[in-house]
Parts: sequence; C-alpha cells; structure tokens
Amino acid sequence: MTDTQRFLLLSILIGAFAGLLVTAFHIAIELVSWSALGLPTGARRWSTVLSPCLGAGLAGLFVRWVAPSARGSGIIYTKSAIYVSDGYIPATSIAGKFTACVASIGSGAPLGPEDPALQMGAGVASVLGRVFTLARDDMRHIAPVGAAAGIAAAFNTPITAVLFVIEEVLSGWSAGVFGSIVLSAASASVVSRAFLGDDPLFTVPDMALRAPAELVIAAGIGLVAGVLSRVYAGSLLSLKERAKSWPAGVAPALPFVAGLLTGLVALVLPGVLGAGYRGIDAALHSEFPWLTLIALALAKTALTAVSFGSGVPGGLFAPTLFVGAMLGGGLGGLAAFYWPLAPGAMSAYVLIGMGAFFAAVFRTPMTSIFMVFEVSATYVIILPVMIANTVAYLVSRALMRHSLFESLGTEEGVRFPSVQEMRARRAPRVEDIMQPLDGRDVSGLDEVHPDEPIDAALLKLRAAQALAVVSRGAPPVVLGIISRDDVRKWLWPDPAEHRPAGTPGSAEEPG
Amino acid sequence: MQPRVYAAVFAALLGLAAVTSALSGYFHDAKEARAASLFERGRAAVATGRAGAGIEDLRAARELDRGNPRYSLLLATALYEADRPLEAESYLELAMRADPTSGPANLLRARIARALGQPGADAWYERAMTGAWPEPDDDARLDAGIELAGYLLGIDDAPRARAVLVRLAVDADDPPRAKQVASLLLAAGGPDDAARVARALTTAQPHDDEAWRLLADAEFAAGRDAEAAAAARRALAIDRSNARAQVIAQVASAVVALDPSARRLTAAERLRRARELLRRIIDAYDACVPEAERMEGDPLAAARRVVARRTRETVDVDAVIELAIAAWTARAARCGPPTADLAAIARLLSRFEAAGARP
Repeated sequence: MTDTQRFLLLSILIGAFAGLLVTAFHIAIELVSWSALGLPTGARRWSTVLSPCLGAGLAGLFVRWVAPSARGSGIIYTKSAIYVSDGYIPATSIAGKFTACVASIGSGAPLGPEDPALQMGAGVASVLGRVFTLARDDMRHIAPVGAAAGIAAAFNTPITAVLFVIEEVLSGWSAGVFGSIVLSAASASVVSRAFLGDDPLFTVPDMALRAPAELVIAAGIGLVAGVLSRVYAGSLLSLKERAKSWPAGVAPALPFVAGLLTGLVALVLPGVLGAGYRGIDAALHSEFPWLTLIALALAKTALTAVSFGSGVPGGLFAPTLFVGAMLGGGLGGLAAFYWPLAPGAMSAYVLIGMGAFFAAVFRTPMTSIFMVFEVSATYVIILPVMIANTVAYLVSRALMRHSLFESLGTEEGVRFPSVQEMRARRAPRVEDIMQPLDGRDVSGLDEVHPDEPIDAALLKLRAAQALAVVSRGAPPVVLGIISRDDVRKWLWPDPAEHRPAGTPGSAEEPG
Repeated sequence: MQPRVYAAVFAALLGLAAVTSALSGYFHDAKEARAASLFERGRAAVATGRAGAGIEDLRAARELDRGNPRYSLLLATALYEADRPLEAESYLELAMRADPTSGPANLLRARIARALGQPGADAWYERAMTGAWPEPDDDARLDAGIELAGYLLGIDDAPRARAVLVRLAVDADDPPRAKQVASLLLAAGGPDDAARVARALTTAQPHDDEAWRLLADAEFAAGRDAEAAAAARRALAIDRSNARAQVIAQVASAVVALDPSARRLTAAERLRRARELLRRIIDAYDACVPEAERMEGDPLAAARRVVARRTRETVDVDAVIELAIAAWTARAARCGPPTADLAAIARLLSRFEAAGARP
C-alpha cells in the first residue's frame, strides 16, 4: 500500500472517530440543556438566570486551571497546529474541549458547538497521526482532515465542511489533501447521520423568489450584515483584548458575569440561550415579529462578544448564524411592513441573512453559500443568497482589513496566511513584467517564455542584461523583451524604497 | 506498524461506537417519550382553551420529533385557531410534505389560504374532500364540502357552489348537515334542490320544526306559495315561536288568498281578487300620502274608480292588474320600499311584473 493510499484510509478512519465523538458531544449538550434549562419547553426563572452563570463560570475555571489547551477558538488552535506545531494537538485538548463546551453551551452560554467540534476532529486526527507515526509533512496535513470531519459531523454539512477547511483553515486550495478532506467529511457525515438522522439542520417551509424586488432587499440585508459584522467582530476583539487587562484575580470571575448577563437577558429574550438553533427554527417559521428579531440579533451580538471575550468555552459559528438569521428575518419583516412591493417569505430572508453575516464575519463567501443550501436543503433562493453574501463580504472587507479569525490569531500572537493574501502574493510571471519590443533587436538574447515564473527569468538575468520573450508555439514568435531594469521597476516602483542585499538593483547585485 | 497498534485503534473505535450508541439510544428514547408527553399535554391545553400554553408544548414536541407530521399538523391547527395563520402555514407545509393527501391538512391549508387572502383555497378544499381522513371519514368530507360551498358563495361563485352542494346533497343523510346543505343551496339560488333536500329531511325528521321551516323557505323561494304556507304551518304546529315560519305562513297564505292568477278560479273570483289587490294598494298609498296632496292631482284616480265600481266601462282582470302595478309604482315613488305588512302584495306584484303583467 502506498503512502497516499494509507493516508486516504486514515482519513476515513478519522472521519469515523470524529463522527462518533461529535455525535456524543451533540447529545451530551442536548441532555445537559434539558436538565439545566428545561429546554425545549423552558424552565423556572431562577434556573434561566443561574444555569448559564454556573455553567459558563465553571467551564471557564475548568479551561483556566485544568485544561488550558481547550481555551479560545478551536479554529485558531487548529490553524496553529498546521502552521506552527507540525500538526500536533494534545489528546487532553479533545477531552477538555468536550467537557468544557458541554458544560457551557448545555447550560445556556450563547456560543456554538461547531468550532469546538472542529478542534476535536483535528485533535482526533492528530492523535491518530501520531499513533500511526505519520511523517512530519503528513502530520501537518492531517489536522485539516480531522477539522473537516468535525464540522461535517456537527453541522451535518459535508460540502460546507470541505469548503470551510479550504477557505478558512488551509486558506487555499491544496490538491494534496483535498481527497482526504472529502473522505473524512463524508465518513463523519455518514456516522453522525446514522445516529442523529439525515434531516438537515433546519426544516424550512416552502419558499420562492416572487419578485425581482426581493433581490434589492437581499442586497440591503448584505449591506447591513457587512456593517454589523464590523460591530460584531470589533466588539469581540475589543472585549477579548480588554479582558486581558483585568487583574489576574478578577479574570476567573468574568465567565460567571458573562453567564449571569446571558441569564438576565434570557428572561426577556429566551432565544439568546445556547447555540440558538431553536431560535433560528422559530424565526424560519415566522414565530417572531421583525422588531423581536432585530432585538435578538443585537442581544446575541452583545452576549456573544461578552461571553467569548471573557473566556467562556464555545465557538462562534452558531452565534454568527443566529445573529445573521435574526438580522435577515428582521430586515425582511421590516421590508414587508413598509415596502409596498410585497416581499417573499420571512424564512427566505432568515436564510439570506444567515449566509450573508457568515460570509461577512468569516470571509468565506463560498462556504456560506453552500452552507445555506445544506442546512436548509433548499436551493430556490440561490440568487438572493449569492447577492447578499457578495455584498456582505465586500462591505466587510472594506470596513475591516482582516477577517475575524485572522485578528483573533494576531491577538493570540500567531499570524496565518489568508486567502486574500495568497491571492495577492501569486508569484509574478514573465508576462506580467515584459515590455513591448518597440523596434529593439533581440537577436542573440537568451529566450524565456511568458508563462514562466519571474524566478526563472531572474536566474537567466544574472548572466544577461535582457531576455527575449518568445511564445511556446511553433514557430516561436517574439512577444517582447524583459530586462533587469524592468524587473527592478516592477519590484520597487518607488526608487527610494529599501532593497534587500542580493536583489536586482541593490549594491550587492550579482553579475 | 505493529498489529497491536491496529488492534488498539480498532478497539478504541468500537469502544467509542458503543458509548455513542448507548448514549444515542437513550437520547432518542427520551426524546420521543418527551415529545409524546408534550404533545398530549399540548393537545389537552388547546382543547381546554389554553391556547398559549398548548402551542408552546406542541412547538416543543415538534422540535423534539421533527419527523412526526401529527405534531406539525396539530401545532399548525392550534396556531390557526389562535389567529396566527402565517406561522400555522409554515408548520402545515412540513406536515403536508410528509402526507400530502391528508384530508385534515388540506382542509387546514384551505382555511389558512382564506385567512391570508391567498388564491386557490377552493383547490385545497377539493383536495380535502377527496383526501384521506381518519375513519369514519364521510362526515369530515361533507364538512369540507360545506365549507367549500360557503367559500364559493363568499367569492360570488354561486353556480360552482350549487354544483358542489348538489353533489353533497346525495350523501347528506345526517340532519344537521342536510340542513346546512339545504340552507346553502337556498343561498346559492337553487330552491328546487334545497326543497328536495328539505323534503327528504322532513320525511326523516317529521317532528323537526326547522326541517319544515327549511322546506317552507325553499318552496317560498321557488314561488310555490301554497306548499310554502303548508310547510310553514307544519313548522308552527311543532313550534309556534318559529319566527321565520310565522313570516312565511303569513305572507304565503296572504299571497294564496289574494292571487288573481291562481288556477281553478272563476272569472268573478279572479276579478274580485284583482279588485281587492288594487284596494289594498290604494289603502297603502293613502296611508303615507296626506289627503291634501292627494286632492291636487291623484295618480290613482282611475284605480279608485275601479275599486269603487264608479266606471261604466267593462273592466277585466288584466286591466285591473295593470292599474295595480301603476298604483304600486306610484306608491313606491312617494312612500319608499314596502313595509313588512305589504310583503304579500309586493311579492304578487313583482311576480306580475316579471311575467309582463299577465296573470
């Protein structure tokens, strides 16, 4: 068996392990929420206030003193494993994340289980990689394979899981692990569906795009989602930063305070408790008027920022979906209320808002589009979802330079490459820099092809002042010329800019 | 790689699968039991008028067991009854996805469409009539049809309403439903069909005053005053306080007694009745027009001469009736619509007018 085949088989195994673990995680959260909050019917008032307080507080203490590796964002942790620690994720972080998040989310903390599930999946993959003594390079690839399995099992969305790992965790396409990511996600989905059923996350009533005017509403939702994503991410980061400046003795109490605040708000708006999927389901079935939906979006934004910032264990996926869903539903309801062009079903706007806000916060527009389809099992609103997601994504990029996870990573002291940066850093090719002939004679010059990377041209330019750029076809045609000066001007448009030693144009320029 | 490692990994996988399986089994059992108990509690609450609490329980039951269409349907019904049709619609769709031929679901869909002003409620009613109902199902189908007829009457589609009701009349054995069908047939402009249903009803329920009253109404609407009067009298014999039967009996009897066009009358009797009709119209006119005004130019002068027999011309019934129609028109111009005591005259004259003044 080749190494590649072994890796693929291991991916399936990782998916099975992650699927089982995440299924148990999901069930444990449900059971705790039944007993702590009396969900789904509701509980006594004192329980609504005290449960989130105790759950979040104790989970916060647990990750502070017992399982520090389970603190913070699972996505940052997983990316760190890929880019910093060669795929190493300790087994204790899996158990720690499981225990802490069951306690906090199950008792009502306004955070979600997907981000922890992603970390648990990556952790399972890392442990199995070590058990099977994978090579160092394979170990770095194994964490995203597990991450995809974790997300797929938590959301019951294998396509979303694959795309999210490519867009956010790997920050780019990697042919080497794509097959493994797909296999692990599929394997985890099969396992979780065997235990939890194959229904989509939400049961969505029938909907249809009734009038072109709805696209304008969708674009409006995208615009507001983009702006709110700035507030959401900004408040999260700011509170997380501020929490660091509190005295050491106060910090352990912050999760208790966050839980207490959550409980108090839940007395008025019970929908803010926990991951919020029940609230989203209710919004999809037109249970809330638009004003309540807006209030829920704002309350959840504030409580998520306070909880995550104060160190309550849990993820940001579910609250982001919740805020987006409520925002979309609220704005859709508002449009229906004031706009004479009778807009469509409320549930459509809930889904549009969900996707748009997700795209804006995580900067993963492809993932968010597919996620909307997978969690709702409907594709009739593809057009408004695409429009809203694109608008939200662009507005978010205009308002915030980095995505939420990039900023969180920076805040935690690590910096990962992003999809945007990778696109900007594409290696230049000869055709990007070459100049027209303008009557110059190129006979006797070495040749270079337009699609070759500039590095190849640079090597040849060590021995020549200029090169002829010729096509690959037969007969070859001279397309232009590339000189040392051209490369120098392209690399440093500003002549005063510092040039590192050994580069063309520097004092130590070779040859 | 040592086989021991493979064995350990396999054992770990089995162990995790066993734990998850046990947890999942417990979870699903508990979920189903919880859902069933919440459903029963919600159903009881809705039945006893505590809609708010009932809806919350039903919502929770559906949340726990989303695949159960019964939960979605009852929740949708409770929401509709609580005047929240938009919410009800979304839950009902889920129930209908699981069971699109369900009669109750299609009936509720029709009601929601009516409440939301959506088109196509009639199609949902039709599906409800032909859909699957819990046994016994005939009454439910009839009720759906009766509701459909009411809906069609509401949108001014009387011909279709009549067609539906004629179809229902065949199966409407049960007296309350037969009465509804007969009433709707009357409203839909089908007095003969209504009379047929009511007649069957009086045969089955001879001591039911409402059945006789319905027959009287139907006969009256069909213009068969003698039959209407007879049926109304039967209704009054059972219940003297039946107000509508009293009216029909009074008007129909008066028409029968006054009608100069009735069959098997001698010429003299016809003329006597025509004169009596004219006299009553003159009296009605005089009752609302002051005497001083009448002196200035009486439009009823010719009619008065005929009634007082002060003319030398030979008068026939047709001429008297023509005078009666003219006098009635003059009365209407001065006095407005006829009062209840003039109902019999109004009825007779409208009939003459429709027939071109020819008895």
